[in-house]
Formats: sequence, C-alpha cells, structure tokens
Amino acid sequence: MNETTYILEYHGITKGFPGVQALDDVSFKIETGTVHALVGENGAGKSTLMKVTGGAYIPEGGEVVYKGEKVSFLQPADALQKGIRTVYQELNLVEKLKVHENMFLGSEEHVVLRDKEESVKARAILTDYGLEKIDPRRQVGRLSIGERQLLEIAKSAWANPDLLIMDEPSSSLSSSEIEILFNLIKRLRKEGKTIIYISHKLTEVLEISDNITVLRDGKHVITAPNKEFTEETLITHMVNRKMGKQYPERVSNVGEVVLEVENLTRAGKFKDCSFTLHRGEILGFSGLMGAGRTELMRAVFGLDPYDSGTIRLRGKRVNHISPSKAKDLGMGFVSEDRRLDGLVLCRSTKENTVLPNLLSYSKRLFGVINRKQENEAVDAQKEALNIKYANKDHKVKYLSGGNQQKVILSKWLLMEPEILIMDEPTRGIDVGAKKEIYDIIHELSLEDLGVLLISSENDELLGLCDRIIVMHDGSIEKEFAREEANADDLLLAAFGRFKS
Amino acid sequence: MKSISVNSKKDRQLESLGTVLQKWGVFIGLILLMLFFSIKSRHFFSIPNFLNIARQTSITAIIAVGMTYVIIINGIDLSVGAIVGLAGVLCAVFITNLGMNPLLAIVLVLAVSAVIGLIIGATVAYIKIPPFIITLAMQQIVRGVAFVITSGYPVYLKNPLMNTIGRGFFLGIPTPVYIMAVIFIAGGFMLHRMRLGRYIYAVGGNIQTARLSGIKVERVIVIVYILIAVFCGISGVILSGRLSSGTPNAGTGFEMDVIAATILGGTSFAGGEGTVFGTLIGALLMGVLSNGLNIMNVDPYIQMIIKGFVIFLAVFLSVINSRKSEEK
Ligand SMILES: Nc1ncnc2c1ncn2[C@@H]1O[C@H](COP(=O)(O)OP(=O)(O)OP(=O)(O)O)[C@@H](O)[C@H]1O
Ligand SMILES: [Mg+2]
Repeated sequence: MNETTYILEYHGITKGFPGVQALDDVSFKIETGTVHALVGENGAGKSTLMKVTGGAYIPEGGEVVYKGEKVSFLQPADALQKGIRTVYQELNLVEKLKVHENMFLGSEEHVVLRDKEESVKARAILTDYGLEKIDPRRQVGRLSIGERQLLEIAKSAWANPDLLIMDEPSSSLSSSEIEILFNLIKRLRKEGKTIIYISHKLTEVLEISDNITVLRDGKHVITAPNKEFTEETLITHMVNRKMGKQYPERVSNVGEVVLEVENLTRAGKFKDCSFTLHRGEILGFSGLMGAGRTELMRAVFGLDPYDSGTIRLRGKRVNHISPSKAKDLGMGFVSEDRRLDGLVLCRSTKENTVLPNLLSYSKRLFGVINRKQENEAVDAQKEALNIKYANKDHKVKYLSGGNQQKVILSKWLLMEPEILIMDEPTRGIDVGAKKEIYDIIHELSLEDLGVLLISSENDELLGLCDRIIVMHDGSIEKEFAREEANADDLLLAAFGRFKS
Repeated sequence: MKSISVNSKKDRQLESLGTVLQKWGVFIGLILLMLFFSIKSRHFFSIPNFLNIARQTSITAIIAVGMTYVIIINGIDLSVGAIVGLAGVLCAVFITNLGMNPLLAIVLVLAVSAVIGLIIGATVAYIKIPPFIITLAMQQIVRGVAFVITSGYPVYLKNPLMNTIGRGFFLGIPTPVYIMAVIFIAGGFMLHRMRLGRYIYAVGGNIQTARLSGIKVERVIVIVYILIAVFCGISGVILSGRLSSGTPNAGTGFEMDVIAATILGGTSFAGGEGTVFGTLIGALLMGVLSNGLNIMNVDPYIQMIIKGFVIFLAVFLSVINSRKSEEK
C-alpha cells in the first residue's frame, strides 16, 4: 500500500460536561497501521475523545469517520463489533474472578464452563504475548496493578481488533513490563493493526509512536509525524508556555531522625527491613514491581499487619499502629491505586479533599462542620496544585485521571503531615503538573517534612531524593546516597545483581 | 493554566432539568399520587386525614432515618421490627408490672435497644459477619425474647405520659409527628453537616479509602447500628403508647416498609449515597399509598401487590436515571 489510508477521522468533535468544554471542535486523522500517540495535559480531553470513539460518550457535534464510513453515535457494542477495542484508563477486570475467567468473560465457548481447557488456552495466549509470568488460575485481585494492566491489554489484543485504543497503559508498568508492552504493540502494528496510545511519558511516546497528536484544553493543537517533535517541542505544544527544569535544584535539609524502622518482617511480603528517615529528607524507594515496597509502607502506616520488628517515631516506640493512629502521629499516605483506596469515587471533590482533615474543620460542638473553613481549604488546594474541575461539589469520579491523583495529594498535603509516604504519587500526571508536584515536595521538605517516596521511575528518584533504598525480593538490597546513585546501579540492585 | 470554558446557558438548563427529575422524581410521584387519591375519594384531601397519614407514617419513618445510615454504609438491618416489638413489651412490663417511673422506663428501653444495636454493630464491624445474616438472627432472638417475657400475651399499659406520647396532640398535631420531625431534622443535620455524617458517606462509598484516611471505620459502623436500634426503641415506645399495650408481635414486617421508604427516597444500595430528606419523601409516599388504598377500600392483598409494584417501579426508574447520568 503506497497511498495513505485513514482508519479513523475526527471532524469537529465537540463534547461538553456541566461547566467544562471537554472537546472543542477536534479534527484530525489517524493512518491505518500506525501507532498514533495522543498527548496533552491532565483534563485536556484525551480520555473523553477515546470514549467518544469507543461509543461510551455521544458527542454533541461533529462526526467520526471509521474506515471511510460515518459512524457518529456509535454504541459501545457497535464499536466492538466494528473492531474497535479500548483499554480504558480505569481497569475493568472482575477482581474476584480468575485470570482466565476474566479473559474469556462474555466470550465463553461452552455453556458448561471447562475450567481446565480455558486455563490452558489462556496460558497459551499469555505466553504468546510474553506474559508467561501471569498464572491464568490466579485471582485477578491478587495480581499487581501492572500485571492487571497487561492482562487487560492482552485480553483486548486477543480479540483481534483493527483499532486498539490504550489509555495510559504504561502508567502503572515497570520498565520491564513496558518492554513487554512495546513488543506487543510492535507486533500488532506489523500485523497491520492501528493503535492509539495515550501517555504522559513523553520519552515513551517518542519511542513507540509513528504520529503524534497534541490536545490542549479540549482543542486540537497539532498532528504530525513523530520525527518532527522533540520532548521540548511536545511540552511547548501541550502547555503553551516555556517550562523550567523538570527537577528542582535539590538543597539538602536533612535534620534529626524522625522515623526508625527496625527489622520489620511480614512473612512472604518483606523481611528484615530497617531504615531511618530524617526531618526534611526525601528518601526514595526503588525496585521492581513486587519487591515489597508498597507492602512495607502499608505496614509502616498500619494498613497491613507485620509479624515482627519495631517502628519508632521521634524516638518513641509505636505499638499497634493503625492508620488513624499513624495520622494522629503526623503521617500521611498517598496510595498507589486511586480507585482502590485513594478516593471515595461517589462523593464530591470537596468531601474527598477534607476527609483526613475533618477534625480541624469541625472543632465546634459535636463535630459540626465549619463549611466556610472547609470551602476555603479546598479552594486553596485547588489553586496550589492547579487542579482542574468545574465544581467542588461534583463527584470526584468525573475528574480526569490526573486531576484525581492531584486530589489525593491535596488531601494529604492539607493535613500538613510530618512524614508523608507517597506511593507512585505522579502516576498519570502530566509533565507540567509533575514539575509542580516535584517543586511542592521539595519545598515541603525544606519545611522539615520527611518523605518516603516509592517510584518506579528512577529518574524521579534520582532527581528528587537525598537517599535511595533499593528493594529486591522483599529485602533491602542496597542504599545509595544522592551523589553515588545512578540509573544503572539502581537497576542492577533492583535485580539483586549489584556488586560494589 | 487556562480556565475552563463554561457551557452555554441552554445546556445548563437542560442539565438542570435532568438532575431535577432525578432528584425530585419521588417527590413528583408523591404529588401525583396525592392528586390521584384526591380525585378518586373526597375523604382523602383533608387536614384530619393528612395528620392521620403523618401519624401513621411517623412510626416507621423514624426508623427509616436509621436505615438510611445503614444502607449508606452498605449494610442492612432486618431486626428493626423485632426491636420495636421488644421495646414496647419492655416499656409495658417496666411501667405496669414493675411500677417504674415512666420516664426512667423509657430511658431503660432505649438503653436496651442501644445494646442490641451495639451487639449487631460490633459483630458486623469486628467479626465481619454480613449484616443480613446477623440481623436476621437477631430478629428471631429479639422477637423470641419479647414473646418469652410476655408469655405471648399483650401487656396492658395505661399511663398518662405514654398516652401523650402515643396518642396525644399538641396544637392540633399528633405528638409522634413532632418526634418524627425532631428526628428527621437532627438526623439530617448529623448526616449532612456533621463529621460523623461525612464519615458515614466515606465508609459507605469506599471503606478502604476511609480506613486509609485515618477514619476508625469500625467505630462508625457500630455507631450506625446503635442509632438505628435506638430509633427502633423510640418507635416501639410510641407504638406501645398508641396501642395502650406492649404487644410482642408489634412491628412485624416493619423492615419491609422501612427499607422501601429508604430506597424510594433515593438511597443507593451500592452505598455511599442517600439523603434523609429523600427518605422522608419515601416514607410519606408509602404512607399516602396505604392510606389512599385503605380509603378506597382496596383489598389488603391487592394492596400488597400494588405496593410491591411501586417499589419496583421506583427502583427501576432510579437505576435507569442514574445510568443515563453516568453516560451523559
Ligand atoms: N463524566 C464526566 N462528567 C463531568 N466532567 C467530565 C466527565 N468526564 C470528563 N470530564 C471533564 O472533562 C475534562 C476532560 O477530561 P478527560 O478525562 O478527557 O481528560 P484527560 O485528557 O484524559 O486527562 P488525564 O490525563 O488526567 O487522564 C476534564 O476537565 C474532566 O473533569
Ligand atoms: Mg485520561
């Protein structure tokens, strides 16, 4: 084929929500058989456009032309039937069911299910896609977020769509998992499939895509071949202004010890983990998915039990720690999964923001909430973190993914903690906002906040932390001071192969 | 960054019409129903009949406030009717048989109810037995105790205070209606304006997020079950005053009316959503329905069928409606 054909054309797509124009006259085309990346700030309208494509939303204006045919007002089922598959930003697996049951959900071949047969088939498919590490008989709820994400992608790819849409597939993947994903994408492209790829990780976007479209504030900015962009020009298109350096110039402000963890052990999760955190210190935790970082932090915060070891706060031993006690002692926890334990999706942005801090806004008789204080606090956070939403009384689930993440951050920052545990705090957040968050973390550390930062992006750890601890297989493998740390060593240590 | 553009005025009007329908659907239903009965029967539309409806409704509506909390936190309480029965029986036994001061008797009855609620709540929160099961068991136990205490017979209860509570009037309005009003206003205030209310929503919306946010979720659950049990106690006291006796099988089947009122009022079975005002409308709707059907002399069995359909219809419409608003 020499002549370019377009599998998908958007003509003047418009879609608004109460108070927000999510898409404003968006027009561009997607070439058949390419990987087409879609980038833009949080709330730019990327997910909304994909939901329009997949038939989940009906646009108010404009039309979608698919394979040369007008398909405006598709229904989700029509989209599936016409070969459009979407892996949404929010995962849609049934946690209680096993991997293979999820894979074939809705396409079971027999009325009486043949468990064995299904799981064998699932294993074959998973292996084919490079996912042999996922056991088809496991419950999905027991998989890591990254594994779940890959499973969902494999499930969609297996349905053999002509157009596969992936909304931030890599935000919860480790670097090795991203490699699996990229191999899968390259293979699909070779088979002539078209892929729409949404991501905030611009290096990835530049690596994998053929063409790139930038959206800003619901409007189409530019669509051009990959080679016409650099990371800088992409950012300029996205935010329409110059951006300073990604990471703040780190000024160390390490004070006295505030948290000591000694020989903390939980069978099967982590063992003999000891570390200390100082006031004003940013302590990073690197490692592969499943290295036990999240589990360790959950235990420190009292969310999960531990078998042995001690936790000392400001020199005092803490027994029977629970989240409410941890909070009272000045700890906050930004968790890694927005939907699981980060937000109450069916409640408003306001309620979510003040949830851990209600005590400060209800000091009057019997806990009557002072609405004025509360509203002011929420507005101040909106301003400080540049969170985009139309109305703080609307449900938080209507916020774009990145803005939801900012709400989680703001609810803990509002508490003014002394120790803040952050598990992948910048997941799904755009480059501009990331920088804002890095600046905030940095500034708070100058005001003596101690930060425990888990991240799967080593860049982030290297740019921000005073010290980096690498975990491998449930144990602390190695600790690096800021000066001696580099990306290669972090990776080696994460695989347990660092030799000094 | 850019401020978000605001939709045109027309859009907003359209949007508000949608939400109005969703929010006020049951309210509109209530008004239509009242219109219908007013046309069908000339006995329906009169102040005395309205007061009558309010008084009849008050006994279950009080409990429905508690049920709103319970359903918001993803729970259910099937023991409410039985607690009403036991409360009435205890009230009569304390006052008639033991000659206790009526005020003290009422306080004791509410304390016993609270203990029952505490047991249920603690079992749900700490031992994590599904509330459906534990309250089903509690229903049997409590009802059984009421029968054992009275050997199955009603206990006579004649006392001025109890009389005032159950059948008295103040400024021409029945006393139970005042009690109901106080509980709705206080209960609504608590849910919408106080810390505990927020915690109830958070626990119901996502218990893991609530726990991680440092809320003592178990405590919230226990308090909610204590509250509903105390409301049952109040309702039982009123009912025994009205009947002038403590009857062991009083309150039988209340759970159905109470749950129906709550669901009609828009409280979501998925948890995390619901309002006390909605529940009031739901309770009134149930009350108007049975009053109107009675006035029209509809056969009680047919009434059951009609009521069932109304609940079905209301839930059906609300599910359709909320699904639409998701997709907007
Ligand atoms: N169902 C909805 N109801 C109301 N507003 C919505 C809804 N869905 C999206 N929005 C709003 O539309 C805008 C665009 O959201 P969208 O999810 O498309 O952003 P996005 O580009 O995917 O952002 P992110 O990178 O953060 O995922 C946001 O301001 C968001 O708050
Ligand atoms: Mg999105």
